[in-house]
Amino acid sequence: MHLPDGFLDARTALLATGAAAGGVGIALRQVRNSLEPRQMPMLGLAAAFVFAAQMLNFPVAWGTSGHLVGGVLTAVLLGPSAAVLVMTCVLMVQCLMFADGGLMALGANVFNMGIVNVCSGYFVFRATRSLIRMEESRATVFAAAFAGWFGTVLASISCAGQLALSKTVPWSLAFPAMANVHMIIGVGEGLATGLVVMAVLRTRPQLVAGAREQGLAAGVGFMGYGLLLALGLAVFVAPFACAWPDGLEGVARAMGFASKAVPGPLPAPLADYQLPFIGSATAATGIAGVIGTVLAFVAAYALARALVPVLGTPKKDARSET
Amino acid sequence: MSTAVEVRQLSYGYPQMPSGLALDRLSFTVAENECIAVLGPNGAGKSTLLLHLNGLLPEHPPREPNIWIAGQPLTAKTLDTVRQRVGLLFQDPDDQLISATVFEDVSFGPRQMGRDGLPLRELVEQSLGLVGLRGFEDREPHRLSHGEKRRVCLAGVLACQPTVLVLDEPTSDLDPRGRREFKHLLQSLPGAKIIATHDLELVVDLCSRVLILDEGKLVAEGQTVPLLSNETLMLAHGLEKPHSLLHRHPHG
Amino acid sequence: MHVQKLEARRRTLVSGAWPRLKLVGALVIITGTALLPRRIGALYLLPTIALMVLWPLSRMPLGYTLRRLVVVEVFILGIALLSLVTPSAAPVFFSALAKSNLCIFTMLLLTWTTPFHEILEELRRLRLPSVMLTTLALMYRYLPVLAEESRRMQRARASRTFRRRNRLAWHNLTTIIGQLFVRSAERAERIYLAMCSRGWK
Repeated sequence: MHLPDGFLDARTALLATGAAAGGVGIALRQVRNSLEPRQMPMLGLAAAFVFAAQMLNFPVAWGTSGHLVGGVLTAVLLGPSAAVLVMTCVLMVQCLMFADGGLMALGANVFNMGIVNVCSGYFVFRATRSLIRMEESRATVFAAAFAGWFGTVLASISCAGQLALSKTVPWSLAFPAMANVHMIIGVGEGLATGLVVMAVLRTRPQLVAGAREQGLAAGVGFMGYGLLLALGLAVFVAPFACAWPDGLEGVARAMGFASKAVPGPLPAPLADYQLPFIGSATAATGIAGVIGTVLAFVAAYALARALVPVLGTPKKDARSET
Repeated sequence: MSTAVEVRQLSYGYPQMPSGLALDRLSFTVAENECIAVLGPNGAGKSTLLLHLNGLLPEHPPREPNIWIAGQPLTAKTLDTVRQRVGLLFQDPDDQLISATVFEDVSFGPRQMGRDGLPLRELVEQSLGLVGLRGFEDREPHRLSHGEKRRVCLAGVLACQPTVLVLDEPTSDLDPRGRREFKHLLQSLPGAKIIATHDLELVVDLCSRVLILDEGKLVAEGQTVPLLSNETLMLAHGLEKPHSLLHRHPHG
Repeated sequence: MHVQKLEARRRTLVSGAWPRLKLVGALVIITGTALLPRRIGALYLLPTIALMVLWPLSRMPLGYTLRRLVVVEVFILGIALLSLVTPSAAPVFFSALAKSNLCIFTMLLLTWTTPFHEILEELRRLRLPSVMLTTLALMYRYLPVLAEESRRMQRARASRTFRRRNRLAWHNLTTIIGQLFVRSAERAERIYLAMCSRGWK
């Protein structure tokens, strides 16, 4: 999802960079206030860890392979603010040293993969974990897996919005393309996230800092991130959400309901990409999204139930040092 | 000879270890310019002891000092000055070599002490010269061999100008030539040295006295050759008689 | 690894330039390119010529350049193709293709001529927050270390895997990643102690 240069126009790039700067600013403040000096080197090591983990090839199907992005994983292991900083650094190095992601697009990439992915994933992780009735380690694995999927999808939607706002790709195309593809890619990400969290829980459960009350550096940042996420998505996605009435209208028509002409407040985006049976790709994606979310939720639950019994009784005594 | 290091009734229990102590009432002294070895099986508490000598453990310095460096007690107030006097070389050079270049890393310690500019450069050059790595200032850590990394770490420690050198397994995973070179290097350095190691040949060559730790207790202390020749004692504490003493042939 | 290739680089006219000049230069070219109109036209020659002049001066090998471009090309085409769906948007497709390639080329030149610690030093002068500078520095320092640990673990696993690899691959990989994290956390502890032992506060 690293956007290269040349796809975003100046205005979108600036807005995204501003949003990214805001998020990183919040993270910096949180980290400065609550990170102990003892944990400072961990940020650097975690960034190296994410990079190293991204280099591993996960076989997917028929010779293709995928890679773990690790944004939500980092948030679960270190807490949201540390994770934002870590992912930002990873993205910076990928841009500056490997030409992976454009320099002007760095702000957008940081916002999508460093903030939307990380923070929304973290929120979903904490919310799911506290709402579900399950043994603690199972709940953690389940929530991490689901959050991994969710963060990936939401980040891709943000990315689609930026492409559409730049008028590079019309929303009615960008949104279905990005969202649908990442709903599938997200499965791998969620699965890998859940499995890694499980592996860490098995050996050093106290290292899963994101599961604890404070994380590595949490707190008031919650509100800040929430606000920023809402703002960002409002800027990048909301202008196109007006497509929804059209999409829903198309669905209503296809299903035979009489439809009152509901003129959208904004003219419909160009390239009315029509699909058979369903009014538009946008609506189809929206429906797929809802179904996908439910499916991902159930799958993550099943994963946790199936795999996590091996943890058995939680290790009450931590390993002693030699 | 004055005492470089004095330890009296030092005890320590790791917080996560509910039962048993990592160190149990240790007491010993090290004279100026003396080189002693700390031996013992894994888990005996060697590394824990070394961390205490640098003031890294316990997390909060005790009210009543257990450690004196050059006569000065190690307390919360004196922690910084005493820490500077004791140079600790960690077992894994990758844990200690953190900077982007050799120069930056060797200058890390002096910079914390406020050195800057030309004196700093000269200090770094001098320290690198002491370990035989003159001209290595601009090299990057991941391009160095294991032995070179270890020597850079030693240079970084020497740059802080300590009076006591404490080394944690300095010859572990070095090849035979690397071990020989490091041994000669240590021999050339003045000052008191405390070496925790499994390398018994090194001990025979370098150290005049030996402490044997087992389960946190000091179980034996004495001159190197007599102590290490005591096969029963050595085997009882997870060690063995070094080969050089088995056949009574000194190694070069 | 990429960093090994940087060692082969000789002192060239461009490498010797101030890091800030290189960084700003790259930014100027990239920004300028991104702001070009959405149809390929004469203006596109400006960055193209600039890059074609800088390329031989930097002595960046052709093979290296092509390999890196190809890797990203797939992705660029993927996105650009989306815009092709509306036939009237064909110029957008070509301009996006051209722009992103020009920009990537610029970044490749920057990377080739500027070692990481110079970039880091420049970021420090630009007042990047110290937390991030430390994180970037440590990340660069320990990535090879962790990559080597990861390789060792993979080899150890592979030597004990006799059946069809795909079935257990995910389990093995995620276990390795989990172990890598634990080891990284433990190493971070030791690094902290080593820093304190040399006077860090």
